[in-house]
Amino acid sequence: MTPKAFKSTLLVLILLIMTFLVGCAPPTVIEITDNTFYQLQQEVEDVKNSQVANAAPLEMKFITEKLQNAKRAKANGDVREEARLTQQIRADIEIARLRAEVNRLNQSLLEKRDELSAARVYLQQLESQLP
Amino acid sequence: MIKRTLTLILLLFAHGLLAKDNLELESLRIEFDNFISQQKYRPYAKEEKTQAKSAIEALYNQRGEVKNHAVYMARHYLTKAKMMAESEYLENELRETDAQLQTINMQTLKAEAKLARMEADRAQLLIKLHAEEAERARREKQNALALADQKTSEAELSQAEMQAAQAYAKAQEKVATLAKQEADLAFAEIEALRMQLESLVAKETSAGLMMTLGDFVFDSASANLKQAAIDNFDRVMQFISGYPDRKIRIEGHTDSSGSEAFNLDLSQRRADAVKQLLVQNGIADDRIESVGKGEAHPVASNANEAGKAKNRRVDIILLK
Repeated sequence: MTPKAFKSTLLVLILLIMTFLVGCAPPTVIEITDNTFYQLQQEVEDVKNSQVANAAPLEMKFITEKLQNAKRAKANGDVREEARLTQQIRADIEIARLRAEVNRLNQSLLEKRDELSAARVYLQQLESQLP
Repeated sequence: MIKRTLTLILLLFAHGLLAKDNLELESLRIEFDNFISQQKYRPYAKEEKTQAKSAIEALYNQRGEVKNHAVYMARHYLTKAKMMAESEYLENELRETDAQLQTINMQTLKAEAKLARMEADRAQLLIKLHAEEAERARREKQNALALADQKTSEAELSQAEMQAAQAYAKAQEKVATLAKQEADLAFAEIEALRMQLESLVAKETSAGLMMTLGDFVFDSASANLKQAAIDNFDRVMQFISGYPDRKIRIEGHTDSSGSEAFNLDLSQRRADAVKQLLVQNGIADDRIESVGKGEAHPVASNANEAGKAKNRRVDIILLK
């Protein structure tokens, strides 16, 4: 092996090792304080009392279950699990809100299309009366 | 040889590190690929798509117990991207539908306005027609009233004409009655004249035989002999024809009414008229002498009508 080939092989090895080390790095998870759970609990409560609860019942079920798990993790002092669950619950809330919004938009669009259809029929009736 | 072998070992090691046999991760990647390939979501949720892509790509560098959470969060980002895209797509659809609705509503307003104008025109036309119809009805009524007035006038006129005709008929009847009465009177007068003429008698006087004609043979205050007197002059002619050799003197007399000259002239003309009648009946002219005596020889008083009537006379004297 020539010195040049050796250098190239060493460079590839270094890159592979760096890639491996980056892959082993922990995922980005939110920071947990003593109040995080209570804030989360309030956020969940707000969602339950809104229209979102009716629009996204499945997400609400998951949120409720995960909140219980988060409570348990907090009680057990498992901050990492609490952080993951908190992040997931907030993500679920976000999805629930989006689902509610999409449902609302779908409903609005249906109504608007009905309105448009009725308006077209009415216009056709009017135009049929015109000479 | 050693170099190639070492390189191959290194590549296999790297592949072993990077290869992911997690099916859920593959499923997530395929789902992401399907999502971003959908044409209708292409313009939307670009930031969320990038975030999801980054999260999924990051999964390939993770392992161990944190991986499930990372997958969950990557799916969350994908779901969020989908929902954001769906949401923006729906919002866009809503905007477009609303724009179409606005256009339709504008066209509807125009059509309604046009129809309203047509209705207004039609209503105006109907009002005009009704007005014309009312005017026609008014004229017809006026004509009917005029006709009725005309009929009434004609009826009244007819009645007036009938009344006039009746009045005329009555007048004519009256005239006829009067004419008849006049005729009766004339006839009676003629008859009376005829009887008077027939009843004429001659009397002997110092001058000769004398027959006196009353003034009834003349028209009043005239020397004209009445036609009836002319027609019934037979009695006088019989009287004269009985004495063909005697001269005849005819004397006219009047009453004292009027002037003396007038009476003298009237008496002469009456005497001449009788002479003319005798000549016409065949008596020779030279046998006859006519003399007007006027009012000078009354035979009765002129103070009353009876006397005056006797004084108005023509004496026909057959001289001795």
